[in-house]
Amino acid sequence: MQTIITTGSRNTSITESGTAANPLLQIIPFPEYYPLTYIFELPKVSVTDNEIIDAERARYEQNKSKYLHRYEGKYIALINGEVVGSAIKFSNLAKKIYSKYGYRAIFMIRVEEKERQYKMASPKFKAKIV
Amino acid sequence: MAIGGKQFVLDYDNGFPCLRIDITICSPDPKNKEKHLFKNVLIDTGSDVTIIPNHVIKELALIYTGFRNVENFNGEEVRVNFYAAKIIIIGIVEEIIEVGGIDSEPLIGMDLICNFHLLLNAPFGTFEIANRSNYILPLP
Repeated sequence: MQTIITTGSRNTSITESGTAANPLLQIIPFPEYYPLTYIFELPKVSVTDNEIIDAERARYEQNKSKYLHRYEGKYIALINGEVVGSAIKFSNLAKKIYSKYGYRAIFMIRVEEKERQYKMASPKFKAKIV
Repeated sequence: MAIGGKQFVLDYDNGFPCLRIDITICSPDPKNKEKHLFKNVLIDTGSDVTIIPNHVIKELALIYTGFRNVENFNGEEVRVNFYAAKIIIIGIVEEIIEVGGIDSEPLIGMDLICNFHLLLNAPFGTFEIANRSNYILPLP
């Protein structure tokens, strides 16, 4: 039996000779694996919420024009770059998304051309940030 | 009530009156029963965002939703981490919002307040908050 390791642009698969359609093993990027752990109850891997959110934010920035075209002015939730929900209000979207996918780090953002500049004009806000 | 909401008494502790209410913050996760009650939280119309101290975020195990750069009153930009939390203001609202984690006193920002009607009856020492869903037009 011959084992062939194929490395594509994104994924790596290990197949037996002549059975390319039925790989023994498929190596996929972690951001693609992670959402599957929730869908198929696969073993959870320790990963920080920051890493998940940052990866999704990067995908959002890459495809922003696509999201703007369809969802401008709405909040969207992204898992693996796919829009899994949208709503006008954050609270409505969060309620829907957390009840469907569980309470975990899910990137939600309001789709807008230029991101809002948030201000805290109050002197009550002492800039001791962690 | 003039706008069909809930009436509060203005806080005169610092001389001029200010708007303070009690809020409860908890996790949106129904399995997590931890709650944190904040007494006399300032309604700060100068703040775009609602903030709570970081130790409460840890205590309630709130989930990170991202960060934003927020400009403070000195004009400096600081990075603030945000978390999903359920906020309860009895008789007014119970919903999931994003809260910023800052080691300062908690503040209710415009992100939350802009959903409500707010009526200031300063000469009477009161104010009233009404959620849009239970808004009743004042009678002549």
